[in-house]
Amino acid sequence: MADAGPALLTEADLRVALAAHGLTLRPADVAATLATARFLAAAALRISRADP
Amino acid sequence: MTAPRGPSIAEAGAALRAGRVTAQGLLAQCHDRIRAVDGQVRAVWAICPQAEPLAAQADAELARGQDRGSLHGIPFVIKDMVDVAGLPTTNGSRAADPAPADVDAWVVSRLIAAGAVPVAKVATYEWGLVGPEQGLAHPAATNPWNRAHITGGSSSGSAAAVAAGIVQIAVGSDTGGSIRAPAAYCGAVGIKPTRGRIPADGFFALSPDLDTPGVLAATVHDAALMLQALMPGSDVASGLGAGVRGLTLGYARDWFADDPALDRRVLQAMDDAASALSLAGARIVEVPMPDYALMEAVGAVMIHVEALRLHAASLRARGALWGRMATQTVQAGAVLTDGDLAAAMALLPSLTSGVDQALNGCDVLITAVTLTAAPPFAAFDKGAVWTPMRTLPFNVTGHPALSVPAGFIGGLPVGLQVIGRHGDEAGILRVAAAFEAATDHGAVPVPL
Repeated sequence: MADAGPALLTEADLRVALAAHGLTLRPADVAATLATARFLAAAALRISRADP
Repeated sequence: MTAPRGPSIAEAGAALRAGRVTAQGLLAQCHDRIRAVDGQVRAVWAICPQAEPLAAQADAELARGQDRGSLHGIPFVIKDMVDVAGLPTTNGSRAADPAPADVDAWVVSRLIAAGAVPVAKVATYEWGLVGPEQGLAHPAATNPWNRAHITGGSSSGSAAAVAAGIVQIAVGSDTGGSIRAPAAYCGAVGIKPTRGRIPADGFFALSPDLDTPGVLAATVHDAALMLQALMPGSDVASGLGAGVRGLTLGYARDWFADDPALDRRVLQAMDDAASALSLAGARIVEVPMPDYALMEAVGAVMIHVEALRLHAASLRARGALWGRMATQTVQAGAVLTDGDLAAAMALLPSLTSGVDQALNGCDVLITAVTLTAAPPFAAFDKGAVWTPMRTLPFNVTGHPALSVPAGFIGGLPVGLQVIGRHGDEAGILRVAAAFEAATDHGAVPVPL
């Protein structure tokens, strides 16, 4: 997911990722969940660019 | 109206051994205090049925000369993510298994073996993840200093019960700051020991690579006595009076001072704390720290990947019973991969080494716990809000860290964080005790 970049993460991406776990997104949860998911995608991107 | 806190463990122990009070009397005082204040604070979720017989047993033992030590007859409360035999572990969720636990968590059994008396299970954020959220099985605990403000979490009831004077000591757990943040917000002492130092058996897991059982207490000395009981063979309480003269404290000031989310009054409180420790004889040096944003990223990825692994089955089967904030938090982790987790964990050695390097030439580090005082509940009306703090990095690296009261902002407490080398709980307690002795922040009566 880090390769996609947080700004490009869409609701559709999130729904696909959730479906892989057998989960669905409730309409009322879309905005907050997507905001957290973008934060996490940004975190993963930062990690991928760090020097271990 | 204000009320003084209850007697310290040392004071209660002296009264017990002199026959001026009984363990059953101390327990009755706790129940009286719960009746007096918990309608406002809402920390207590369940009363432990074994409290009365254990208090009676403690009295009978003392009467025949059997003394289990400093915690004999001392009441304590337990975060409701920790098993207590005979009570369900609700984890703050309607979706939790309603069956009572068969056995006590290791921490609870260890405290009972030390003579302490379990009084009540207390509030937590749902699954220890996020909050406060209203409309769950229990209302959110409130900050004893101002009931319109949050306690922080997830050890919210543990901090509130201590700050409200219900008990002197409480069991908590800390995965990203879940002991230190509510301790700071509520004006309690909170210790996250070195990761792995205290067994987590019987604690509900949030992120097994980061979860750390720990303690909350009214004073540094009480915290040290509780921690000592949980670390057999340790001697963390013996150096509390040694002061800080001759010690070098690394002040991680730049690590938070430029954060745009910082309330500048917290910076002033931290500078004042450094000054107080300097006046007490310590040498203060500013130290560079590893990149905070990277440490936060590593911790966030670990928590979210591990939380989804733990909770996916529950969300599929009982998702309708979950609160919104916890649902959103766990489901967001679906965008992460096992590769993201592996990449995060590959950074652990270098980040840990970075904190070790900051400790080079210093006895301990000091910095802020939270970058603001406790926010109002109203800030959470529309959902979860990011509360800035500097706690998660030491879950990532495993270093022991504590929060000790460091003053007030608008009538709400803030905390000073003290961080030590792995295994040096005694060192951070020594510095915290010296700070506590040099200031009067922990002695201000709570307005309840």
